[in-house]
Amino acid sequence: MNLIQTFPFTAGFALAAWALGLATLPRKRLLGTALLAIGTLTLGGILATIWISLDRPPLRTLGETRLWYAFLLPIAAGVVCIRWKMTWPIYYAIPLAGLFLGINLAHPESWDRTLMPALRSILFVPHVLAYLLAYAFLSAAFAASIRGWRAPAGSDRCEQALEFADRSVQIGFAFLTLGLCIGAVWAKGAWGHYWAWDPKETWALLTWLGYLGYLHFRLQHPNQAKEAFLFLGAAWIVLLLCWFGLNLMPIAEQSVHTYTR
Amino acid sequence: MVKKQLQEKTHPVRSDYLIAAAICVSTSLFACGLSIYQDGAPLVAPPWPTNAILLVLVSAWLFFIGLKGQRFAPTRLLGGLPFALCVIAHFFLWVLVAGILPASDGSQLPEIVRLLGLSHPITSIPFNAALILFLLNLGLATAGRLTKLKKARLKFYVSHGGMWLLIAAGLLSSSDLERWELIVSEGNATAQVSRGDGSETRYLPFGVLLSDFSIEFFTTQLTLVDIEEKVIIWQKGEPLIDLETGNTSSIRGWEVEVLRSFPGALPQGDGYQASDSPYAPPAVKLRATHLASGKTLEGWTTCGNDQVPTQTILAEGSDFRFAMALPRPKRFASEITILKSGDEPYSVTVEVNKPIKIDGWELNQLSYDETAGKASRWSVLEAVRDPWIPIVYTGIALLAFGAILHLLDRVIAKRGEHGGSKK
Repeated sequence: MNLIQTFPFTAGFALAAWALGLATLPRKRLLGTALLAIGTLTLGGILATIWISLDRPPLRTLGETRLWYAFLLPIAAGVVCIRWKMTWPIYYAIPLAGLFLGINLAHPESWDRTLMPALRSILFVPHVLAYLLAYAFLSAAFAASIRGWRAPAGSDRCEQALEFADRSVQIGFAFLTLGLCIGAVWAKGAWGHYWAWDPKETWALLTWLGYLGYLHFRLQHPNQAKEAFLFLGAAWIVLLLCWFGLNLMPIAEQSVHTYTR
Repeated sequence: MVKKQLQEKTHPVRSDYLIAAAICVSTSLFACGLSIYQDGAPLVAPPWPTNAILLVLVSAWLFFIGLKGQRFAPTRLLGGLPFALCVIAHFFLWVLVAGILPASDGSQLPEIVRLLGLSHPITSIPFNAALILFLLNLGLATAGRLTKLKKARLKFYVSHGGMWLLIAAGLLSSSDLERWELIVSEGNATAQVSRGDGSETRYLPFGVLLSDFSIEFFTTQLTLVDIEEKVIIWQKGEPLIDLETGNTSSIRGWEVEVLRSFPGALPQGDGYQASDSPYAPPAVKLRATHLASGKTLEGWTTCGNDQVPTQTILAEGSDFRFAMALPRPKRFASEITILKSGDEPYSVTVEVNKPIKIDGWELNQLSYDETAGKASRWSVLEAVRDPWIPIVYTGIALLAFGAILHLLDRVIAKRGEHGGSKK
């Protein structure tokens, strides 16, 4: 049995555990939490297996980053839920993680063992993981913005969503900045310059500026919740364009960040 | 009463936005006009030492304004939040232009785009004007908070100051940054370097002798090509079969077994014989069995090179051929000897991600003769000189430290404590 054959079963098991966990959580909290944890741990196990089998970090292709994202998103939401005693973010984070895992099931990987020399750096894993953690927290913020948008302005539900979104953006933005800094240092060693205005770098800067704008907007307008949710939606679209959309743009041909095969 | 107070509070903010938006739009219009007047010429930073003097003067001016100028409304406005939001949006739009328009010689673009310098957006005058406005706000906001030093503001000082230093140094250092290509063949030495497009050459203060160029490849993989051998028809999601002796795998209804695998081989008779020659491409003997019909075929396949033609195996009854994908490099490195007048020659190895430093220059492994593969006898290095790198790295370190402080602050914060409060 190779990775191509086993992946649909293991990923399907993780999805089933998540679905059952979500269904059970409102009535039997402990069982629901255990099922969600089993689903997430299964995904962690899949990633570890792929890492060992390929003898390289599975962080190269878009599909591999989606898998990490599906693994990190429930963890990010879980951290926020435990730290600030909320449960509702998990109802948004798990379906979103499931969606990304579902995309991987619909577009299976070939699990290529090769890794180009420029990616063989000690900074490769921290750089990509910082970005994926950032994407996980920023997506959790987007999920909060949907919940907040649907709630009446000024209601407790709206305020809670805003508070959660703020925290997630602040944490996600810190990871985004760390990813940017690690990437700059790595680029200097691999390509000779810390910032080359590669299309991916340019879009990463756009994403960073989008959330920088959000943080400043919140400082200036602490009571404009609905506008803040709209802002978050727009910033998340920029994030998705940077992550996936760029590959569909003509400018992608000039990027050294296209590792799809 | 409350309504009146709210109006008084809201109107200055609204007028701040209007003034900030007007400044951004006027700056862009002026920059566009200037760019058209300059025939789309790029904005070039002044060279050393003028750029360093400029950085010191601007820093001193910002520090002075920060300490003394806070009672003036224009200073508060230019370092304020409404202006920050406007300059972020303004800079975002110009970065968006750079993220959509590919860098080109401008011949494919409308004349007005070329005149605005947007064939190379990041060196264009409008783009850099937006960046300077961003820097102005960032600098004034940072300096403005220096008037009342607070421990709680440490993360603000570090992240904002680091960002300002990073952008300012990056912007002003562009004229001092030198990037040259050094092409050297095995057994030869050179000190001559050239621009990537060959437009300009110069000499380094030391010579580089290429003693040896070495390259390692990953195990070659099986691929599928069409009958005419023109297009690769293997698709993502299908197995990638490593062509190592004994490997067995199934693909498109065929079970493929690798009978023999040579990392280097030359044709002999109907098959191939192992060879140590650098001009010998990898070759493998395969046995393929059609799972439905039981039909079996055997043959050799090689990706070939300049000396040896490519060979594929026709999958009879199917619409493809078994072929060998081009080998992918795992690691390549140049063993070079540095020659400096008055010094003993010494050997070093340059590898991707492992550059070496000599007299303020950094040598990076860039490329090699990719058509020759492992037979490549020349190496392409990049010689980079960036005297501002310690300042840039200081900016990056401060920015990263600021991010960590913000992260810790958010994780430690209790529910209800908004990180968004103005301090």
